[in-house]
Amino acid sequence: MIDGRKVVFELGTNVTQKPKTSRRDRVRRRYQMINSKRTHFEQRLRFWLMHFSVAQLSVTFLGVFVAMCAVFAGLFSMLEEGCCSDAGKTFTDMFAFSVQTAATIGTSFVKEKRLSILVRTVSASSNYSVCHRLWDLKSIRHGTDYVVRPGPFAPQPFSHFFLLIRRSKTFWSSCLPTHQSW
Amino acid sequence: MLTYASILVNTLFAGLIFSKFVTPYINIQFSEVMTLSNVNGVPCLSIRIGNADGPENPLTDIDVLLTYSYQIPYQDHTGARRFFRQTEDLELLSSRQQSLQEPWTLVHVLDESSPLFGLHFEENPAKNIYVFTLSVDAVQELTKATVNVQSEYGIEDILIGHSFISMNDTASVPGVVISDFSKMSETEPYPVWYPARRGAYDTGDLLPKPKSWAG
Repeated sequence: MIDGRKVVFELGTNVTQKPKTSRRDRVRRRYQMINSKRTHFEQRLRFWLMHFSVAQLSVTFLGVFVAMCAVFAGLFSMLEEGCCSDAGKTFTDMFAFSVQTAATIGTSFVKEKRLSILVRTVSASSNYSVCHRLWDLKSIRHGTDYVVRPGPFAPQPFSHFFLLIRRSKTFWSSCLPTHQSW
Repeated sequence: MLTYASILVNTLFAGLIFSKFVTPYINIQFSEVMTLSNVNGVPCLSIRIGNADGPENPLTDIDVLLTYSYQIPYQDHTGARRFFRQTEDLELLSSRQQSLQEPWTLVHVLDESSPLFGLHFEENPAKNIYVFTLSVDAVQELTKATVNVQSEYGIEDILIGHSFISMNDTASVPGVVISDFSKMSETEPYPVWYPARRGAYDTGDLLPKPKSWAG
């Protein structure tokens, strides 16, 4: 009894129905902005990159790395004397050279391939200049010599490019310095 | 020496780029004006904001604060002219949102509890107001970091007897809300009974009635 009136409760079943579509589909709305003053390209590129997972970014990095090495191998193959003063090197050899050098593993341009595992590991994982120093020491010890020896401040991919510029006698010689001190 | 310098430069630049990469950044677009018009019969001061990057740079936990600053000139006991400066909050109808997926109109109701209630903006004491500041705190979802942006408005930026026109189009594409940011600051004449029904700002019949009022 509430306020002198009798209230009767009835047992109700199946009063309302479960929605036929999922909540996600019913509630979901898409938003689109037009004519907004969007941020400049650099920031948007950052936002875009930040959307990816670590695995996706790693695969993308690997893809870009391989593509970059392929480009450099292609540029080397355009040289008259080929890569590393060896005209007999194939595109695959030069690609391998590019990968190894860009990854600071660099075995193919050391004539005597007796670099220890330690040096290789350190080379691959540490700073370029440190590798350079280590290889320097190693080459003295084994009496080996460098075919390519870029300066310590030059990043490897760019050093490839400078090497290409320096060695080319066909299409770069007219517009670029004839001598570079490495 | 060269090795040391190389390591230093490399690590320094790597750190710089990393810090730039993870520094949170948001792009809030503010309306160029504030409007003072009636909302459901109550005079309201409104500002509009929106996330100009939209879904590219989603924001969460939006927290806004509207303040106004005024200065009152007075003469001290030596006869020197001095100013008393003060900043006070203006309470918003809603000051927090979980996201900013579409433009948000912030509303301050000019009722009896508002410090601006009954003030004529070209007369004392309201003319002593020199700035309204809107501060927006938001968490950038990509970096999970909080960012603050601010915008300032002068007394002359208050359009009395105007109301913002709608920016959103929900009819063109089903399930899609299209926000046209070119309309962020566009207004239309709209009645305001401020500070009283027969006050100086009672636009009455001076302004055309909105279409929605017809009939």
